[in-house]
Amino acid sequence: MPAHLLSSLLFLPCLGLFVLLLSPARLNLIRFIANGTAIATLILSVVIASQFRAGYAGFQFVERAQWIPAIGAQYIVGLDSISLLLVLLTTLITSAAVLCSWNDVLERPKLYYTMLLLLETGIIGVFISLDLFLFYLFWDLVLIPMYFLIGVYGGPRRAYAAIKFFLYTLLGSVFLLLGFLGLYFCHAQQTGIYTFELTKLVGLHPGLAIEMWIFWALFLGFAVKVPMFPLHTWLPDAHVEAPTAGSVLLASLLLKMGTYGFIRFSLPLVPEASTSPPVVKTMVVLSLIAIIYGALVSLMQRDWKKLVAYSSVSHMGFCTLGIFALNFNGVAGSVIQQINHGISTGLLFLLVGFMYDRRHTREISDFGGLAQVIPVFATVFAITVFSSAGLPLLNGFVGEFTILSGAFAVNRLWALVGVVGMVLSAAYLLWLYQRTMMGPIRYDVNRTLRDLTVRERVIVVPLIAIIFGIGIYPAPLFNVLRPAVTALMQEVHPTLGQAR
Amino acid sequence: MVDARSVAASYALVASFLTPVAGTLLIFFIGGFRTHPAKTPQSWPGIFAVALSALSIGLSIFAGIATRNGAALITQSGEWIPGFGPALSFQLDWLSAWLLILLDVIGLMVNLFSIGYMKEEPDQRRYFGGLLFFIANMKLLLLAGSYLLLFAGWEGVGLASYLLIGYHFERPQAADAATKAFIVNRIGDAGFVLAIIAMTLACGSTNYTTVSASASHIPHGSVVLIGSLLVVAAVGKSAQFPLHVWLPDAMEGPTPVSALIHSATMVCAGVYLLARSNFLYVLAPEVGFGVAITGAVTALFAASVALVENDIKRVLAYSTISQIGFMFMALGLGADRAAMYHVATHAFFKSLLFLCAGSVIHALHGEQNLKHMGGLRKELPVTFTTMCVAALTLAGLPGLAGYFSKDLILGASFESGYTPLAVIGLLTSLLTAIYSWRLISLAFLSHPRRHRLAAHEGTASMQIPMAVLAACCVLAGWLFVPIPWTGWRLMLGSAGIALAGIAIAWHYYVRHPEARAGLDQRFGPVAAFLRNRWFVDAVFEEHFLEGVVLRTAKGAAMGDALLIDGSVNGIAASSREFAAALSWSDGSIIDGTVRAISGFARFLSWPVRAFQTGFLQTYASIFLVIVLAALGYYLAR
Repeated sequence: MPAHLLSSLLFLPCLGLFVLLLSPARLNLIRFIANGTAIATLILSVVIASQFRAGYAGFQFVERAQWIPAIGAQYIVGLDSISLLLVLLTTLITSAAVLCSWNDVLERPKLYYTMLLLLETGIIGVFISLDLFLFYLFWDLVLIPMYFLIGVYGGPRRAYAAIKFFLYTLLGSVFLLLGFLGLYFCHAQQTGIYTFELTKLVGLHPGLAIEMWIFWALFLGFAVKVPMFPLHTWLPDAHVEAPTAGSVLLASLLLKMGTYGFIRFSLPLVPEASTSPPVVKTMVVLSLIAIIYGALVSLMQRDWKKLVAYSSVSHMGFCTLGIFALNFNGVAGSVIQQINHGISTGLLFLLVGFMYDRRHTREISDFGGLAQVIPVFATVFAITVFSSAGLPLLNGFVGEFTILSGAFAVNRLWALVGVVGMVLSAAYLLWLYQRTMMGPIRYDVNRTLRDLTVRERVIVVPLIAIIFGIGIYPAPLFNVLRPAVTALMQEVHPTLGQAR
Repeated sequence: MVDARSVAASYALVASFLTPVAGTLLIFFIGGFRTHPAKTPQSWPGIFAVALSALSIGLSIFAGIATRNGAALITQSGEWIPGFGPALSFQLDWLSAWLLILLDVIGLMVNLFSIGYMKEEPDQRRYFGGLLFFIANMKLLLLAGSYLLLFAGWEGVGLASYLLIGYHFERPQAADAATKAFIVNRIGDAGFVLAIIAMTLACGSTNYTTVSASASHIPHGSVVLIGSLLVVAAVGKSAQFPLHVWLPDAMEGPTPVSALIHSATMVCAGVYLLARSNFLYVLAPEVGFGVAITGAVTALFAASVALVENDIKRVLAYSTISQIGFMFMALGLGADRAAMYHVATHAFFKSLLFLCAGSVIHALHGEQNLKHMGGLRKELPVTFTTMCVAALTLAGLPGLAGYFSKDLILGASFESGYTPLAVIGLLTSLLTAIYSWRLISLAFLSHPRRHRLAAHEGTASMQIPMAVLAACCVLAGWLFVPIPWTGWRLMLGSAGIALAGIAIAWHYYVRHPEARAGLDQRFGPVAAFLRNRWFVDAVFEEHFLEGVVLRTAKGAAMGDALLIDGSVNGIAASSREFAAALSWSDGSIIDGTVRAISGFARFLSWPVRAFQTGFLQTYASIFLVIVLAALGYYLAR
């Protein structure tokens, strides 16, 4: 196995970024470099996945180096199956996002693609860092390119949305840092060693009271990112103003950083607090509110993109519900749902973007009857809608169903509220589909719309294939996740880890 | 047990499922990836679909023969979603074999009929592809060996139904109906999802064999819970009160689709589900009783509404709801075989009624209002004859298939000892006879009530299926099942009721139509109640949908904008105001103090400063003045 595979993956987008910065400012060259880098990163991630040993619970491809010895911060990266899946999602979705920007960004393209690639490095870094300080660095690094993507290339209210996004998430991450520092000093107090290394900090047991403080500090950091109710209102604004690629990356990847944080850090680092009844109750109630509330608010949206944004609130509610069901089905279902949400909602945002390119509007009432004009678009949109609504044999069902069974095992009422969310999701999605694709063509502009172009089809086809693939044959996902999730459950709560 | 015959039968079983699956894929891939429908309708998709349906009948019958001794054919199983048992398996026994062959027969007839009925439609591939897609999913539903796999087919037929109701998606009513059907069904599906989860937790698997074997060992509460949740699912799919609201609207789909999906097969999936789960209702008879009550209420309700409907397809839709109510009643009382028998006879006569209605609508260029028809007997003799057979079968005329199956159900209701249920059954039979003959009278008898062009029968491909199904209506009672015997009294009684109903309809709709005005006067409120469909639609749409769901959603959206985002913006705005205030105070108070101090120092220094001009000339002249003054002082002294 060639060494430094993971570091190569992490810094490959950075390399492309520097090449991009040094290259002459010709649009086609810039496009070529950006797409080439994204594809190369995707290929490298697949190579890593092919060498991944599936039956093994611990971290693989681990690399470590001293970084700032004075404070004990190290460069440690590594993968387990949970991070592997999210890394694969990252490289795939980033490739789609880079390719979909082909005609979107004709002014200042260099900065734009630089930011996309920087974002990719940041997100991969978040998913593979095994040192809290390194993680925090990447966590905040992600903010900067996204801030510029929204603020420079966004819609009319971009300044407001960008600043709201930046400040909101920065506020969260300050608390995150405080939580990390709390763990750092607790560890130093107990052992005299100052370190940010994740595996060393696990099993610290500083006592429930301190764990509680740390949990809620981490909560503020992660919950803003997910986003959990009621910390979600930065999301619709950021989505509506962001360019298509920005929305796709935001929904598919950035939100997953929050749920990943809960799984990777909150649960194993402060297990006593994470499993204490008040915390579980609060988290579950907030998740259930998000599921129902996000769906209801979606139902009322007049803006296509905002509707999809609020649907993310609802779908991410399932992810956090699964995590705090604290059993195998809940957590595994949550990870699968994160992947599925990344694919389906990413695709929904891509489709909104394709339509915005054509019509320069996102008002739902400006459309109607489009299935007559652009049947391929309508078909792809239908598959995506049903995938998002959780139809069996498509990907969305697998995750939601597994999460619900995890929740049901703990408390039937949770699952009951969850299925109400499923009914509502069919309602807002199908109503959206009806208002845009079905009915008579109300505006003549819509009669001459172009169907999906070759480039758009190239983006869409792999995602659709994955939608069917996961839906029809989900067993490999579970098999890959089983060791890591089982190990996590044992760390968190030995008795619960055994059961189901 | 594993002999060559049963292996061959298993292969036939899988092939019978794969035939429509392959057909669905092929129909969209043959003819290239052309995305827009052809300008002129093509005929090959229809012929292709008919050929595949014929092939799959053969396969289904071959597989079905293996189950004739009551044996079940179970294929090897594997996991679909890990943690939910080996759900990927097929199971064919009398219950599914019965419905599988029935599905294939009706499917063939409907495909054949559609060739003629849909020949003007440009998008043949989408239509026939949709039908094959439906048949494939219905087969998955019937053949599945586990509840989880059944659920995949269950949702698949829902999707097919959505796509076909919305075949004319450019019409707003069709689009509305498709969306409504899917969402209302989703309510039932929610129950199904919870039922599957509950049974996995209780029994460790969702396979029928495992669940039925372990059902007696699990707590009674779990049995009741699982059983009730499955009832919720069945009520949604089979359009039972109060989740029936989607079915009448689903009539927006092309009429052959209504014949196949919304009368004969898909809507009976709920009956199949409950029959499949009858071991639960044996263990928890209280849930079974609830099923019977639901069925009885639905049967009476829908039959009474069918009395006053004027849209030919909506009459049939309410009739379907009512007949399925009968089946639910039988299921709830433990008479599974009677229910399944009624599923079969109902499939024949109801799909025939729909095909005939389609033939009428086709001949009248889209007219569906019974009040505008009349006198079609002479112009459409084949349709008239076959529809009469179907309507009389529905009415329960002795000797026709519907008579036998309905009698079994009525017999079961008398035997059960729940007299109110039996009375509701008899009353519903009377109403059924009345509305079925009312339908015939209004459409075919008397004279045309509207001026119209001459109507003509459709093509042979439309007439043949009608004739075949009419033959089934006549023969099914005699050929397929030994004649049931429920006793002379009941048989004569129900025959009398059917004849009485027909006589009443004859009286009010053929002999003395003018007498209806008096009827309307005397029973005005009742008629209004029926015309408003017992106000169920109004309650559902105005109170539940608009009053509760949409109002809550609106409240949530407003709360989100004002309260939650408002407080975020409020915090941002107040921090900005606070910063502005600080900035002001920084400028005027803090820096003001500094400036005041400096100003005071400046004030103190002004006499001195007056001399500090920086000009050499000034200093020189002051110096000169002082020197001169000093000199002058000394000189003057």
